[in-house]
Amino acid sequence: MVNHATLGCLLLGLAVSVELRSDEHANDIEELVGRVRAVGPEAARSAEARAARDALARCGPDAIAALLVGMDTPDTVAANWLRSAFDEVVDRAMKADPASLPTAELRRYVLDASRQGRARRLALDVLTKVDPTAPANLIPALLDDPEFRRDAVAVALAAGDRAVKDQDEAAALTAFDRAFDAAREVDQVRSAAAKLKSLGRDVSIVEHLGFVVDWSVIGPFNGPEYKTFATVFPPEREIKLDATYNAQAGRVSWRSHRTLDEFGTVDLVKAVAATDDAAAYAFTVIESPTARDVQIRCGADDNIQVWLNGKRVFAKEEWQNGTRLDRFIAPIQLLAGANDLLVKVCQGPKYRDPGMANPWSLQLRICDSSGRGIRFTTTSRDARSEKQP
Amino acid sequence: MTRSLFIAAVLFTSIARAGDWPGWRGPRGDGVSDDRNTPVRWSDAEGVRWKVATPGRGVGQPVVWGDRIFLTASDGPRHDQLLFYCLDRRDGRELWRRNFWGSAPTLRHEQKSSMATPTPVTDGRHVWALFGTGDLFCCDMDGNLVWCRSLAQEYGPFQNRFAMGSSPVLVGDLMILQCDHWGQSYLVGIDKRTGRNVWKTDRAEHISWSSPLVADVDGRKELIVCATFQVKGYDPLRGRELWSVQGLTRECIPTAVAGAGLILAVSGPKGETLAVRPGGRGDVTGSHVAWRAARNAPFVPSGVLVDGLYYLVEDTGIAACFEAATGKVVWQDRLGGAFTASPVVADGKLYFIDEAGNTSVLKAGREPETIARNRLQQPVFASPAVAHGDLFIRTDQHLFCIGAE
Repeated sequence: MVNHATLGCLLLGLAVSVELRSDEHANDIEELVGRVRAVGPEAARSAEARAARDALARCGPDAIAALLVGMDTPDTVAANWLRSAFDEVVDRAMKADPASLPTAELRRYVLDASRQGRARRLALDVLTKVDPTAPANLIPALLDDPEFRRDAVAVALAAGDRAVKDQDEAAALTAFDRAFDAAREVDQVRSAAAKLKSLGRDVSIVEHLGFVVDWSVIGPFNGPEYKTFATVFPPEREIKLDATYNAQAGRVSWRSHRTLDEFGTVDLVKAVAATDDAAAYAFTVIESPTARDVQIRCGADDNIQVWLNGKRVFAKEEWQNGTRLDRFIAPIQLLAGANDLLVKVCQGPKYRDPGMANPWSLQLRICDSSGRGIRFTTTSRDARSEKQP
Repeated sequence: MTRSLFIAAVLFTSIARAGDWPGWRGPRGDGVSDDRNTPVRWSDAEGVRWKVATPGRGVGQPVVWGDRIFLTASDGPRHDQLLFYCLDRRDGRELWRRNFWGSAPTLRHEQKSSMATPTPVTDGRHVWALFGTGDLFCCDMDGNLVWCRSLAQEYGPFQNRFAMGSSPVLVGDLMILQCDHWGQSYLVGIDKRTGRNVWKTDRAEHISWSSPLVADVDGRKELIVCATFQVKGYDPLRGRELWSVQGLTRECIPTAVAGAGLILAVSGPKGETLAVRPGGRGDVTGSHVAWRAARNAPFVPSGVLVDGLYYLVEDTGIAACFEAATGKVVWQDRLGGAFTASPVVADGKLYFIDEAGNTSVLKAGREPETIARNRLQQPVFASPAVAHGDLFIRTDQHLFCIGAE
């Protein structure tokens, strides 16, 4: 039996000008979308999904709204099935009558930050085909948008550049300020900071992104190939900043270390030792004015474990994968007042190629869910051990 | 007693046709084409049948079946826009293009990889494409989606800073994927028609980029899997590990080749070439290694084996030829340039393409005889394909079809 939606879509496939709008038709389109979304893992219901997709692909532009809603899912498999139908519907409408595309619905969808970013971007692409001014009209206001933040920052940076060219310093500063405030990615943060500096305004990337730069460090603790991650060394049992321990090359003690890197990277080769098959620890106390749900975003070469107030909140055994911004993200709860933060970073074996250096580093920041650094201060739990190296 | 084994790489599919290049490393997965009268000399201005601009970034080999060429690419700010498309082999005209989303884009090498590093594979009825985002698509030859999966959703995102690079391989109705990464690595055998798992085997190995090879060992198929620190043989129908040999280095990229009764595996940087007698059981490091070579191991390009000679090119541009049976170095020759693309062989000619787009055409044999050096003035990171007498070179901007003279 052919249901109404299938019949309607078949007819629309034959003659797109035929109007078959009805509540029943809309319901049937939603039912087809639902069948696609039920595809499941291991391609389980692909035959059913394909049949529903084919019916949807024959629909007219009145199916676009339902397809957009259907594509608003974290399930990439279902989204891709629906997208294949969406693309066909849009292509056919563009050829037959671009004005038939539901531009108002597309615009609403683009601006709805609660929707999946990839589907919103697709909606913007379609909208732009009909209205080439859409990106210029919509993007600048999306500086705090989870999908279009990068695009909006790029627009703000470009606006600042134009103002510089026009010798309008005030406008340039405003634009670059907006760009810096919204920027979360290394290249854009660095670019905005540099442009502000060129106009005489110094900004702190460390504060903007919430990097922890003041640490007490200790190590290297010895471990055979790839065993250090699981080996419990003394700092995991006790934090005594005035203690000394047996380690890889004799006794070691905690030392203060402040990184001057603008993105907060701690070079453990310099801070601890140039070595292989080892582990080091970094410790600090985060003073938070209030109890807060925030994020730790961190990266390390080679791998990293993080304890907050004695509880392990993140661990990732992953060797030779490099330190980079926001490689790992973990939610944490800061207590009001002092919070002990302990980090362990392992160093892998020497490279077989003696010409290759064996880097060892750590980067950690504390931020809100948008990636903006939170305000905090660091102190030492035992000020007696805090001596500048 | 050492038993003499017949071993050869296996055709991708029993219906593979002469002249086609159905997947990574060609019809037998060894980089060798049976085509004759393949090109010798060309340049941007000469010998080019056609060239077309390619969208996005992709470093997979072109896959050719009949008059169709299949390619993949990724694009967008996060490289989560996936492109799966088909060109007409005769003139490069686009026949179809499908746009998909990627589940979990990873980091990538700016030039040498993208989310479209794996090469598609076809059996002439369907074509399959795996992406570094963990997404797997099956389309018919006209681009209609038949099934798709997100391995990232099912088993976790690939954790890989240079983008997953392993290409799927077909064994009968099975498609086998090698998914080695910093998360839980696995091999999976999938019913190519339905997308359902037939078997899945977790692996302790961490990251690698190598692709599996199907070898015929005395009439039995073995799946050869190179990875960090070791090469292993598996039963391709059940996913059961048969044997292992230690001796590769970390982060293995090249795909093994089979021939002369041996499996030839290589991994760099500064690793060894291992020649392994297949057919063992358990850890056969002490009993089944026929020879080792400490030098000339490439980090990225795979080797080729033809007429008992095994050819490699190091990433730094030094080519070498070994006797496959003994490991004896026959010759070494500095080609110059840096290499990412794997060499291919056709009509007795070795094609080595460097990253600047220069191709050294050498006569296969016991002397390093250079026949021609050709330049395309565009960076090349993808391995070329040979099909129907033509050479298909994917630069970072175009696909070139180089015609025989």
